[in-house]
Amino acid sequence: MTAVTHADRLAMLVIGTNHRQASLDFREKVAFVPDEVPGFLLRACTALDSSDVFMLSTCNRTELYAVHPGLDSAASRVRDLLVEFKAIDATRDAQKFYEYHGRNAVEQLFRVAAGVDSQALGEVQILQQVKDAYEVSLQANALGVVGERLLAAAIRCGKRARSETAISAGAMSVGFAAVSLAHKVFGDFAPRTAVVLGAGATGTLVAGHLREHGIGRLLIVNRTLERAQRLAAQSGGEAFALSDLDQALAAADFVISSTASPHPLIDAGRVRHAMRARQQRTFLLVDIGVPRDVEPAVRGIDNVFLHDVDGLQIMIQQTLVRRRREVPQVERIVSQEVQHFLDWYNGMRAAPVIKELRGHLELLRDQEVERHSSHLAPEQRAAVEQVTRALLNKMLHRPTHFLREASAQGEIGLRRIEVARELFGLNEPPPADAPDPADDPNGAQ
Amino acid sequence: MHWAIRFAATMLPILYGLVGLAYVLIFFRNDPVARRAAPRALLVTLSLHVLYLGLLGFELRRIPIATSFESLSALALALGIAYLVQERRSGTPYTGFVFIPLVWLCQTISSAFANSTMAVSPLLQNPLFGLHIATALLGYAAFAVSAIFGVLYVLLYHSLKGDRFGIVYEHLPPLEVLGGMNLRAAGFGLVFLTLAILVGALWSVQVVPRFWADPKVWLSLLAWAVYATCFIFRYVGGWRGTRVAYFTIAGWLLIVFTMLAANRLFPSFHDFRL
Repeated sequence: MTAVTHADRLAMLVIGTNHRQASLDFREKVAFVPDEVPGFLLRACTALDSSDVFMLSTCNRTELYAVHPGLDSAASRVRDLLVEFKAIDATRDAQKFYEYHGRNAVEQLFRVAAGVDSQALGEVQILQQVKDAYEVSLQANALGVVGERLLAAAIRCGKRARSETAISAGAMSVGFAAVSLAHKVFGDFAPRTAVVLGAGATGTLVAGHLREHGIGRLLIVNRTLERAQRLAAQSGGEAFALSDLDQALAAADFVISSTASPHPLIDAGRVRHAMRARQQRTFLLVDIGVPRDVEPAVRGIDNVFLHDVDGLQIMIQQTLVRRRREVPQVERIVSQEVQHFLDWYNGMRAAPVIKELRGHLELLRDQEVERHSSHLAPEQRAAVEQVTRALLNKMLHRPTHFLREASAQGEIGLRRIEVARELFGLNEPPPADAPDPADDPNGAQ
Repeated sequence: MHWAIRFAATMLPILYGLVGLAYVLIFFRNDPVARRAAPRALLVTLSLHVLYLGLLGFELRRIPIATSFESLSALALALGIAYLVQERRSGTPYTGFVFIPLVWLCQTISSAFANSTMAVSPLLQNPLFGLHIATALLGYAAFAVSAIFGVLYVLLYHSLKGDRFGIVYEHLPPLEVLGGMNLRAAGFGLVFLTLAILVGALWSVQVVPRFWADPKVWLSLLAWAVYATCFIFRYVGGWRGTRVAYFTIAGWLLIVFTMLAANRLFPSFHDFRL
C-alpha cells in the first residue's frame, strides 16, 4: 500500500471507457451484465484492500470507481483485474481506458450523473443507472462511508441538473419525438385515443411509448390483421384491419403511422371525412413512414396537424441545440456539488485529528495527575481532576476551532491540519480508509 | 396616508415592470434566478397592490373603482391574482411573460392618470353600484385571461402547423389546455358580464333616466353578444381551433375600447366625475 501524507488530495480514482474513447465492439467486450457486477466488486475490494468500490456499466460506458489512498498502485491493480476478468489485451487496449484521480474522478461521476457526458446529451436513463450502481454496490457490501456519500451527492447533482436546467427537455429520437408532439397538442393522454398505423418494429416501439405515457385507448391498425392483433395483445390495444381505418380515424385524437406502404394510405379526402365524423376536433397525424403514409395536402386542413420525418428531425436538432445551451449551467451545478462533497470530505479528514489531539493531551493530563496523586487526598485529587480537565478544555477550544475551519479551506486547510499534527506530535497517520462516521467533526469534542 | 398612497402608486408600475421582465427572462432564457424570484416578487407586489387599493378606499371613503383609471388598477390586481393562481395550479411560469406585462400596462396607465382627489357622483353610494362594478371587473378580468390564452393558442397553433419547434413550442402548455383555458375563462367572463349588465340595468332604472340610450351600455351589450355568439357557434356550429381564439381576442379588444375610449368619444352617464 502506498503511503500518503495527510495533505494528499481525495484518495479516489476512476478507470473506465466510454463512447468517446472506444468503439462499440470494445465497449461490448468490457461491459458487465448485472449478474457479473457483485462478484467483480468483491474481487476488487479484496485486491485493493478497500471497502469502497462501485461500478457503472451501461451500453455506452464501463467505469470502476474506488476510494484508495495509494492511487497509482490501486489503478494498476484495477487494470489488472479488468484485463483478467474481460480478457483484454493489456498493451493494445490500454489507450481505450481513461483514468482520473481525486477531484477529477468526482467530477467525472457527477458529470455522468448530470447527463453531460452521455452520447445522447441530457439523457435521463443514466441517472437511474447511477442509482442502480449504488444499490448493487450497497448490496455487495462494497460501499464505504465516502463512496456512499459520493453516490448520494452524484444522484443529487443529476436531479438538480434536470430540475434546474432544461438539459433533459425535448425529444432525441423519432419515436419519442412523435409521442412528445402528441403531448404538446393534447396534454394528458389518459382521456385520449391513439391510432398506431403499422405493426412493424417502429410501430411496436411507438405503441410501447404510448402505453408508458398512459394512453387511454390504443388502436393498432395493420394491413395484416394477425400482426395487429399480436401487437395489440402485447401493448394492451385493440386491433383493426386496414379496411377499418376510417372507423379508427373517426375515433382517434391522433395517429402515428409507420408502414412500409409505397403509397399514402391517408389522403386529404379521408381526413376531411374523418374530421366531419369527429366534429372538427383537433387531429394530429405523425407520419414516420418512408415513403410517406399521409398525403402532404392534409396539412392544409383546419385544425389538423401533420408532421413527417423531416419535421421530427428538425425537432430533434432543435432539442440538441437547446440542450447544448444548457451545458454551461449544468457544469456550474456540477462544480457546486463537487465542492460541496469535497468540503464534507475535508471536514471528515479534520475530525480524526481533533479526536487524536484531544486523546493525546488527555493522556498527558492523566499521566501527570497520576504521577502526583500519591501526595493528594481523594477530595484534593478530585479537585485537581476538575481543574486540569477544565484547563484542557479551554486550551483545546482554539485549536479545535482552527482545525474545523481549516477543513473547509481546501488544500491550504489540509496543509494547516498537517502542521497541527506536527506541532502537537501526532505522528501516527490517520486511517487510510474512509473515516468512521462517528468521527463527524460536529460530534468530536 | 396620502404620501403612502402616492408612494404605492409610483412603486407598483416599477415593481410590475421588474416582475414582468423576470417572466420575459423565464420564457426566453429559462433563467433559474428569475424562476426562483419572479413568483415571490409577484406575490409581494400583489400584496402591495391590495394595500394600495385598501388605503385609497379608506381615504376616499368609497370603493376605488369609480373612474376608468381606478377600475384599471383593480383590473390589474384581478389579472395578477388570476395569473398567480393559474401558475400555482399548473406549475408552469411560462405564460407570465404575457400576463404580467399586461398587468404592468394597466397599472401604469392607472398610476399615471388616476386622480384620487377627484370627487365622484353621489349615485355611487347605491350598494347595487358596488355589485355592478365588482361583477363587471371580474368579467373583464376573465375576458382578459381568455384573450391571453387565445393569443397563446394562436401562437402555438401556427408553430405546430409550420413545424416550428422553438421557444413557443417548448415553453407553452399543450394546445388543448390553452384552448380549454381560453374557452373556460370566456365562459366565466360571460357569466359575470351578464350579471353586471343585469345588476347595472336594475340600478340604472332607479337613478338614470334613459339609461338604455347610453353608448357604453350598447357597447357592453355588443361585447356580450360577441361572446354569446362565440359560444353558440362553438357548441352548436362545431367551431374549433383558432376561430374561438380569434373571437375571444376580438371580444377583449371591444371590452378595452368600452372601458377606456367610450367615455371619451361619446357622452355617457358612466362618467362619474363631478
